Amino acid sequence: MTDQSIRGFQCRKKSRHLHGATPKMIADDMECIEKQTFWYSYISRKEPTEELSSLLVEFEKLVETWENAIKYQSLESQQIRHPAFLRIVAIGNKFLPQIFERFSRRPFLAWFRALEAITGEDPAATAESVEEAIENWKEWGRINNYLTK
Amino acid sequence: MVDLGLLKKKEIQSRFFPNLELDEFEITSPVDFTYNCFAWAAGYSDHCMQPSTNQRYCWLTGELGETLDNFEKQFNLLWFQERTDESFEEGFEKVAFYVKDSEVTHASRQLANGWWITKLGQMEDITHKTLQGLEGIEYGYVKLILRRPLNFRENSTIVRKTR
Repeated sequence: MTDQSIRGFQCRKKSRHLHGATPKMIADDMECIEKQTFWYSYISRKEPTEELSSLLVEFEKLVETWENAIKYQSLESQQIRHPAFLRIVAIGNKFLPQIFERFSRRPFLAWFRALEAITGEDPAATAESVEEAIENWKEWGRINNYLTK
Repeated sequence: MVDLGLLKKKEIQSRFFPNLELDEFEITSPVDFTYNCFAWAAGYSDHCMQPSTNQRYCWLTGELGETLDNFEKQFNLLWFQERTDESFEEGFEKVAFYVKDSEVTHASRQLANGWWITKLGQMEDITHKTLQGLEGIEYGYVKLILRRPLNFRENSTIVRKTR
């Protein structure tokens, strides 16, 4: 999200406050806010965008480091043990679209644990194979607008 | 033109398994995240196998923990019931387990030509001439080899859950 789009969001909020908003408009905004809690708090606190940018850079670097370190490990327990993974989970709630994009391309087993921890959900709880679990999470990501395809 | 297969082989060898330099190996499959090395060692390419109570993983012993004992029990249930060595024996299929820091990290299966086939984590399959090629920092060392007769299905009357 750029400065311009953040300002746009704020303008829409202001405009709706001044000119009235339908219940649906408010509901849409609320849904947007719930889905993007980070963005909402980010806008409210008026923090500089550089902070998010540097966090995103750190996130991408962590994922690269982690994937390269664990890519030949077969067990979920060994994949999640890497220090970079813990940091990925810690900051992951700010980058769910990026996580879903990574997960859809390279669904390492440990991503299941990360997604469960970050979202508090488990749409793959009844999956009977890893393939089914991957599809369940991708569908959940699409429904919640974290994944576009 | 850059040979991507060759680059991949060099990366596998130089960054993860330096002992492969003394071995012969080939990449034999593309990346497939739906199965892992333990499932592939047992001959399955449609699920992942690891100690877990989660039903998306195939684990028959009901015990958790990445111990050699637990993996031996699991593979006993898949008809790998005799301990053996890495030599090639006509009429048998063998599985070798790698252990690092007292935890099982990997398994390879012997092919009919005496080479070994390995799924590298959830990534590519490779065939390699010796078990030593994968020994080292990444997987540790081979600590156990089990065998099952190639005709194990014909001789067994037990139906087992293998998903």
